[in-house]
Amino acid sequence: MLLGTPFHPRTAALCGSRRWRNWSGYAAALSYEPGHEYEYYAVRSGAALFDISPLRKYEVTGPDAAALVDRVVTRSTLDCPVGRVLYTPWCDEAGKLIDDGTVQRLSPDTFRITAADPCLRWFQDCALGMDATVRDISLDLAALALQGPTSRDILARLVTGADIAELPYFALTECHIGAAPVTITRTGYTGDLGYEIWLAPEHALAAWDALIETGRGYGIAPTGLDALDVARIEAGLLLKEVDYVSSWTALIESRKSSPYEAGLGWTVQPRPSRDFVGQRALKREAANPSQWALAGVEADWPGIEKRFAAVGLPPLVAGRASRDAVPIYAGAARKGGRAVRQIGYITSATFSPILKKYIALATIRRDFAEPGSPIEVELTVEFVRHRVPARVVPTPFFDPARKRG
Amino acid sequence: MTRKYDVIVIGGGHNGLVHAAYLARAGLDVCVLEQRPLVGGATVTEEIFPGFRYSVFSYVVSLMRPDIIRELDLPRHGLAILPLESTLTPLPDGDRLYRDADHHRTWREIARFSIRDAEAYNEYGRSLFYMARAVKHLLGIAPPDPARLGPRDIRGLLGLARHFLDLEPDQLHMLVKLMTMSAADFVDEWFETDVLKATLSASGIIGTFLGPRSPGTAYVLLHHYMGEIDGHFRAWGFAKGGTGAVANAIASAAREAGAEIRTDAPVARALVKNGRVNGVALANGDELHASVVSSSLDPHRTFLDLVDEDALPDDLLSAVRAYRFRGSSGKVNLALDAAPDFTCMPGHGPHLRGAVSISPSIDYLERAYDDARYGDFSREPYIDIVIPSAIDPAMAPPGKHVMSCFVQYAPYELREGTWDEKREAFGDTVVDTLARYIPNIRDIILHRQVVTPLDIERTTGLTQGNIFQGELTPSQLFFLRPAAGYAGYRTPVRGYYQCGSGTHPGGGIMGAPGKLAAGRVLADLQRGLGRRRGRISTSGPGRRGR
Amino acid sequence: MKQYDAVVVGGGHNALVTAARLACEKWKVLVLERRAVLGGAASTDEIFPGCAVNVAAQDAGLFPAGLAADLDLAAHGLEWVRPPALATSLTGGGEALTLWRDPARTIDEIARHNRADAARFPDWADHLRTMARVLRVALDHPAPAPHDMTKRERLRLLRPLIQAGRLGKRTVVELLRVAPLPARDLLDDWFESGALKGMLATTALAGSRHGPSAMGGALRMLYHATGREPHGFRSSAFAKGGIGALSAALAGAARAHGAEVRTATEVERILVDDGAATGVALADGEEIAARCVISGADPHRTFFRLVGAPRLGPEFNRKVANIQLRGTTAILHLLLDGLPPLPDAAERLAGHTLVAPTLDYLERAADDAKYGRASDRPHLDMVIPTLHDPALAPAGHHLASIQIRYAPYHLRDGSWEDDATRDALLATALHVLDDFLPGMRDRIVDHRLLTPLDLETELGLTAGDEYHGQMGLDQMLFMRPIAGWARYRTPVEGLFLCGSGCHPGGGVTGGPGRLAAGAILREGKPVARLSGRS
Repeated sequence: MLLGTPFHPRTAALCGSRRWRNWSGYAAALSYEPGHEYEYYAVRSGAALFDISPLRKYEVTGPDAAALVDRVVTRSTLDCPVGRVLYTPWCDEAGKLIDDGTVQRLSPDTFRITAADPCLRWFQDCALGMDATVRDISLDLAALALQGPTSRDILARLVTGADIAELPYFALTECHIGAAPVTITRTGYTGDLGYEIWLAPEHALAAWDALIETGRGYGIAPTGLDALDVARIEAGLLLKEVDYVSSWTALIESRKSSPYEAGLGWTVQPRPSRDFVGQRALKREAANPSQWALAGVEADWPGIEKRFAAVGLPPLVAGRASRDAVPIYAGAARKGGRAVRQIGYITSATFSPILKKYIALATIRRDFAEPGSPIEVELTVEFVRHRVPARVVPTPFFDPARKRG
Repeated sequence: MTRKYDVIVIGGGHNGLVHAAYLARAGLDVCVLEQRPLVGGATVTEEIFPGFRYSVFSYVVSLMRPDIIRELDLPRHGLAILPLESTLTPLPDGDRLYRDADHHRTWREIARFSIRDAEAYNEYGRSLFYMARAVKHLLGIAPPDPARLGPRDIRGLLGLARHFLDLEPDQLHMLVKLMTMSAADFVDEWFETDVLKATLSASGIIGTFLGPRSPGTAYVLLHHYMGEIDGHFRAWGFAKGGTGAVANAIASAAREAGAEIRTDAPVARALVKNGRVNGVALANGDELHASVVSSSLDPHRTFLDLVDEDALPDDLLSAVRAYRFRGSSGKVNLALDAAPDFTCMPGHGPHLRGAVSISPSIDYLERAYDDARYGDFSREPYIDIVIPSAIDPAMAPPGKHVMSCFVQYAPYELREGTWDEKREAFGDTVVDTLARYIPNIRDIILHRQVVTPLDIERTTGLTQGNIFQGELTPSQLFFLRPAAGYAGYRTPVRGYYQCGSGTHPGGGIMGAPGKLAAGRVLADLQRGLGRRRGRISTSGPGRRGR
Repeated sequence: MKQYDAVVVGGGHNALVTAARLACEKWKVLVLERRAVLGGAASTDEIFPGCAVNVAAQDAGLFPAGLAADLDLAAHGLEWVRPPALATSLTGGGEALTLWRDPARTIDEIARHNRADAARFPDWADHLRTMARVLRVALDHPAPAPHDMTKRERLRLLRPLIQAGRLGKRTVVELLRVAPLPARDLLDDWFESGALKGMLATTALAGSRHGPSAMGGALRMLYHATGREPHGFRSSAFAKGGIGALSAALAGAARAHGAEVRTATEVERILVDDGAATGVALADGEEIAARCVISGADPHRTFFRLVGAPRLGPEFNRKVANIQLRGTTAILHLLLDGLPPLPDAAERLAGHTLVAPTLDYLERAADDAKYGRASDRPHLDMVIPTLHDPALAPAGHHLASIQIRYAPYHLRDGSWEDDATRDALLATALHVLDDFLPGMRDRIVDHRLLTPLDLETELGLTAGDEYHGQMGLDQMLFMRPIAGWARYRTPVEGLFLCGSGCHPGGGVTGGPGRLAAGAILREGKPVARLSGRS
């Protein structure tokens, strides 16, 4: 049985497609209309409104709160100023990814952490011997994401008690929407200008209504997970259990990933005297790098078209993002010009409506991870497998200046 | 009259039948002798009360080996195992813990008690998956004898060492913990919610004379967790038509392969001449001859009742005498006029299709054990309830139900009185306990069958009414089951084999002992007898089959 | 600042063994003991004025003669006393059953109770001793830790395997069968007499919170029988002058090789920098640098109090938190002005005097502990050391030290801090004593009760567990103290464990201390190790 989020009365009424997905036990709309294209373009040209309440939220308080957060996550948070938000993963003792999310510093002794999946027990166990309290506030906090070029204007008109226009990238502010006290963070999962709004469930519907009402003139659209999935791939953002497997759910060692292997090496910030969990293992890995890396892949569109044209079809690639693993090949060309070795696999792929390219996030051998490396990806046309040329490109695939500006 | 068979199998329980089916399929002339008018042993369905079909003794299928289901083609012989997906633990205060296949709902249900536990539950499930996978390997192999160190034993031991050393260290360590800890201590490492801990540890006490806080019960917990249905891990299920349908399907497969199955044919003893078996004598004086006799009875009957002690070495005899049975459980089967109405989940609902566990706290279970340890049945027993008619309508008339209550503890040896005197008092205790959670229970009982350990022993022949043919404790597992040096299905009497749950890998409706023993018999025959009889195939249809 | 090769935290007997062994190898060693007397749980203190009372442990029967000889403890004042009576079980009504050191006398004694049992007893003793010999091989060597060993260490495993194999493959298999058995099952297979079974089962109880029906009891019986006593019973020997004399002799041996031993010096913290131990900080603020730190404290105390959980990984901490530390014993010390009026008291009561009349009695005592209560009718284990060493108390007086089992550290109702709870336990113990040894009560001049909480606060035993962790099957060999860390190393580089929480386990055996020293020495001289690291 799926539950409704605090916004369910509104989202259910709007979800004409009747397309829902199970997100952590909640019904989450895949798209409100039968197709997600309009919603996708809301992300890139208007404002898309997502119900992200099923995210797990934790509150860390107490004199050792900062030390605890610093112990848990790979990024150094001790000197994170109040009002800042950090994106960071966290690892087990072996330095393998458990989950990722944002850390918000609300006060010197108060942090809020978002996570994809339950982590309370882990955070609490990390707190052993420290003067810090971790609470699961998932049910105490509803959440919306407002993403897109007009999102700033909508919030600027709506919000009282803070100057949204001046809110920097990855910063937070406490303010009001109508009567509702909210926290607004300039964060998101779309790679566009955008905000996330955190509020008590009892204010959920009023806030939703106010946003829709004010947003009407700014192209606001309630948006589902299908559009989000396309946007986050364009932004090069990882999805847990798709682009990496959590060390808690990986049944075998080889499925686990370190931050280095998942392209999150930049979040690993060794501290001089204290350890964060996994630091020692990651130090060893830094000295002796893994053979795996994350890479952006761009398939050669003419090559795809050619394969389809050969059987008389237009290029039938799925309109939605795909989470099916697809083999990647490379190697010395032999007779017949065929690549010979599988060097990795695509974890997420989509046709980017804005770039008009077929793009993918992939886990591949480090030797091939340099941008420009020629590779081949598997393509199935009329039940026959082919390989089409592709190349490694840097991520994000789409990175508008407004995201940070 | 006498008739000569290749193999006589004593006992038509599910292991005896599996054993016979494999041997018959290999082309041997096999006869199964069952004392009762129906096959199955403790795996029977009987219409004790008109229109209501009871799985009188064993009641769920979790351990039946999928390879046996496939190889004997049991679905074609009528076997269908229906899923049992939920477990409800009602609490005396009207609350409950309800777990089912809906991952997130179960999460929320546990989180009502403790979010930490809800999180730990996922991890716990994964860990047990690893454990089951590690131990599963053992279910499919005959135990080597570490004291003999013949080539086969050394190969076996090295293989085992490699298997276990290949495990991740944490997994190996957890396995050792499972083999040695109490179920309560084991779950204590994960959880803080009493009702969750109690319900999880309850599967560690089933069929043992141990309490949840007794070291060694964690293994039994794993043993029950290893259940597979069609390759799906830890799926419990009902056999359509009751557990008797399992035995009937195997019997049908055995018959099709050419085996003869005689019911109402109790065996008095095995005929042994010059250290070699040559047949059996039935209770009615008839003698049947065969060069191989396999006993699916428990070690006590196999060695102390059926064979002269003179034929057996002292170390085996003393080991079998020290082997622990200690039946600890009973059954109460109820015919109900309507569905039971639980205080904690009123009315009809999917919970009726699952198991209901009366195990509100660890202390509750431990106290139940304390009673038994001093020779009484538990005043407030652990009860594992299933309602087969809620899944399989053929088990009861429309709108009516059969309810199977597995009850622990009911010690075989009572300090005062006899089970014949105390049978109904025991039944009353069970119904009183049920009434605390199912207020309408007394009004809807149409018929009650109380099965005490003594009744289990009398009816099925299981010594002391132990449902596993001997406790599943580390001293009685693997190469120690039933006795060190005699765990390879052979016995010191040439041609005399053991193939029941008293051998590795033990009890439950699993069939593995019967199959592994058949492998032993066939290998031995191929070496010896095979030369005389010509080639024996180890697979393929029976001699007279099809 | 002075730099030591090793600082040993705690002056318990195992810590002293480690210190002495390292000092013998020319290590510069400093031992720091919090209390004024050495020995920890194996110490002797002036609990009553003018008396030398063994605070917790009484008996050092498991301390190996070889180790005592290696360290030349006799030269440092150690002298053993072995009274003719091993143990006397009081069976009520002034009756008693004594196990004598002399086998023939023991069999006569058992025959007075049950002739069949007496006839079986020699076989029983043989059986147990044979298996104990195999077990001893395992306990004499570092634990086989399959994933935690270098190739060389794995090869070294062959030695005990071959040694054990030589004792008989059947015996090894029999040990595998017997070790997990409950004491009750094993004893029921051999004997009829309740008194005899009760008495023999007591050795299965030490180091565990479980009663005689619990699996693993037979292993503990064998563990306590590894000291080569004639009956396969608990090995028993007393140090002249009290058990503290053993600790003093160990300290003497350590000092003789240059070790420093400081008492009344409490270590507050083990200093860790960048994942490596660098020394210790004392309660008075002094910091002492050392190339390695060796903790004789139990693992819980070592990791959570001395190192601090935040210095260790959460997964490791979970394992430490899951170590079963469950003190279930209280100790009652009595000063007596005479002996109780039991016939031959002076002879029979010179060893251990037990209240363990039947298996069911012990079982019920343990049942209470399961529900977090002190036993209504506890099992008692009393030693009157003045019977074999009169100098311990002023003339005309005797000392009696009684272990009261079960008195669980974790009480469901009440607290050991409440006088009412303590008084109730005292009253219960005296009541039972009076039942089984009438007249004893009238001889009491003074008393001192140590609850499991007192054992924790006074001796630093977490949860009052004098074995530094339950001696269950799940906490033996490579599972002790923590699976994956059974070889005295810890996740903190340069920090080692050497206490009873390590393999082979608790009791006054010196085993963990000796094996830890071996492991530390094999890691190499700390100077070399350090330079290798930098």
